[in-house]
Amino acid sequence: MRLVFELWQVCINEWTKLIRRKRLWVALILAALIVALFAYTTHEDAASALATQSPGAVQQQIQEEKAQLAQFQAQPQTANIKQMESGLTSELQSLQHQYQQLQHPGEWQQTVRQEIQQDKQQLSTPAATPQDRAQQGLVKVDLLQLNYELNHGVAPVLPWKTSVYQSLQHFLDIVSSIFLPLLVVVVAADMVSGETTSGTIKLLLIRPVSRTRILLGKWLAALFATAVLTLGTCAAMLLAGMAIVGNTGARAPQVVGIGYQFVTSQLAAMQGGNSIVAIPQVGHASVLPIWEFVVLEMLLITLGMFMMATLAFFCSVLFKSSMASTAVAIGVVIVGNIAESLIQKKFMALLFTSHLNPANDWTGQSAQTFHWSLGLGGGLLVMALWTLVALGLSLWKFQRQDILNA
Amino acid sequence: MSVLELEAVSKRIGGRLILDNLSMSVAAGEVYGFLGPNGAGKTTTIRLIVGLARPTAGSIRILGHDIARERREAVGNLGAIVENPEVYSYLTGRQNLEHYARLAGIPNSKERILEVADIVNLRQRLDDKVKRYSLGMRQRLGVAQALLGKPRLLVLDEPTNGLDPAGMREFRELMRSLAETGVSVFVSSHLLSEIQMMCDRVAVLKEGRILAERNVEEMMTGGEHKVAVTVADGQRAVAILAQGYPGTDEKEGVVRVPCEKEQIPQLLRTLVAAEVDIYGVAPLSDTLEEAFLSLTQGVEEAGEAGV
Repeated sequence: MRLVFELWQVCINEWTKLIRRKRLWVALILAALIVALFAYTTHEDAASALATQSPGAVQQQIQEEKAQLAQFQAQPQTANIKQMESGLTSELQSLQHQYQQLQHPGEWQQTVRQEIQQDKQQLSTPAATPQDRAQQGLVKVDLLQLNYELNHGVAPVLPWKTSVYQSLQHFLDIVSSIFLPLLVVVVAADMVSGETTSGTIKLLLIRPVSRTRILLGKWLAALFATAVLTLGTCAAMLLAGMAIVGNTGARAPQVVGIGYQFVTSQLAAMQGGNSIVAIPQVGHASVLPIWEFVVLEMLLITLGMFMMATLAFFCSVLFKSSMASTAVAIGVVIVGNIAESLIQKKFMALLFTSHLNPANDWTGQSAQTFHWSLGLGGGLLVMALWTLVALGLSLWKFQRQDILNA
Repeated sequence: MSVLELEAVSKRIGGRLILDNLSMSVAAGEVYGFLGPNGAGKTTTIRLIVGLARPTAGSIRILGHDIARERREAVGNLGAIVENPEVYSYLTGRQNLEHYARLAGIPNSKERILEVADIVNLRQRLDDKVKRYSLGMRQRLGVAQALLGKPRLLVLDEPTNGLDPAGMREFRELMRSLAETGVSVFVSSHLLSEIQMMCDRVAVLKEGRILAERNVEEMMTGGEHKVAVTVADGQRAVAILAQGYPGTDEKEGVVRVPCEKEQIPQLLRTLVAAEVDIYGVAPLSDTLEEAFLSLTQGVEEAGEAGV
């Protein structure tokens, strides 16, 4: 019991110190800026979709092309002109078909049933090459989505409307690879080195409380600050987005749990693609409404940020100067990101930067990049290992360290 | 039982032996001074005592509890200032004390905080941010945090750093009053005059070894009494006194004569009879500085036995 009480006292101390230091407030201001950026881009995207995809806009395009066709028809009919005319005519046909669909959004179920039929037909032919199997895998995924839409009565999002969940999902992926980790580093990377630099570590450690408990208390306070920052930023982005484009498309299907089988194919390489073909496996897949997926993605990103905070925390134990620990932690994130884009080997899946957004493991997107199907379970395991090893090394070093020059 | 006991403590840092087989002990209610030239290992010793660093060999016990094995009981009786007391400058004085009180697990922390603030005279500025404190106030806050847990042993490293003479005198009086309540104080300082005025016993450290450990009084007088007579012609006075008072010497017009208090009248009559002009007579004790310097420079003081 005393362990818990003491740990709680240390946590209160550390949190009191955190909120009175500038670093946390700097992080909050940066977070506010990114939320503003998201709101702005969402607004711009929504406006552009409205301008180009609404029924009125399509009708205008049709008129313009008709006028152009008339112009061509008025000119002498050379082979060139005839080619342009036929091109314009087929474009006109598809635009008018699009317009028809826009005029009758309620009949989406018809379209979906048709697409399901087409997919089933594709699956009935046997798959010979790995590329064919890959194609069939994609069709299976498509089928899952279509069936979900039909069974749950989920109409597709109208083209001139924007789904906040789609744009947030895209934005979260970008933000979780560098920006959120940097925020976390700003807060966590000088938890210990800051006190070593300022000398306050001396008085902190001449206490009956063991060094282990003091370090754990600091770590827990850092995790709490991380959770507040990450979830707060994500929630703020969602709310800002909803304020701008509303709640359309909340129930659109998102397929998760897609495994991948990787087959080498010389034929594929010769045809100019990758020699490794990724074949989607839907055996363990399931479908979620996208709003649920995005909320879970936020929680998974928070877990990824916990791992990041622990690594930054480890840097702060390793280095005496808070400048050095912050720089190294930031450097590691950036180098990890660069390596990820340059090295496409399997072992990169074990690097911590690959799991800052574990939702990518869940949807199978990361499996496609690394040619290794870890899945959500595998991703979480890798994260847990990085976290525990970093924490363990921090505790070990802190416990044994002689404080001679602080 | 001694409050602090070091037994055969050695510390090796990066191949260099900083402390070599150190042994010493501090009794209850004693003010114990720790002296030594720069690089002797005083700060390292202090860091070992408070648990900031680990000895390579030997043991350190506070009230019988080994600091390595029974850390909580040992450090629970300890209050310390190591070099400058670094406190959190972005917190107020009170918040700093609350921070340390939480770690000490003391009951009634609010009252205790006000108590120690009164002891060190910081009550009025307790709610100001420490970054607005003067150096002296920070020093006093450092003493306050050391006193929070009602320690039986206070370990101080250069505690009067930054204090003005009034502050130094207050500090000295505080240490003496604490010692009277049974608290032991272990203080390391460069200010020999301070040590001289504050301490009961003193240890001199050089190159990681204790050269000498004895009572302050003893160290200053060397067990022998001398008289200083200020005269016009020092050489002549020495010549006159050399026979009756062996060991007499002269320095800048002041003749130093080994003689007891009772012999002073006879001494003066001898000088007067020889028509030596006398300007002043006073009992002479070496300052601690001289005793210290001669010890650490390995020069034996004339007449000081057993060094």
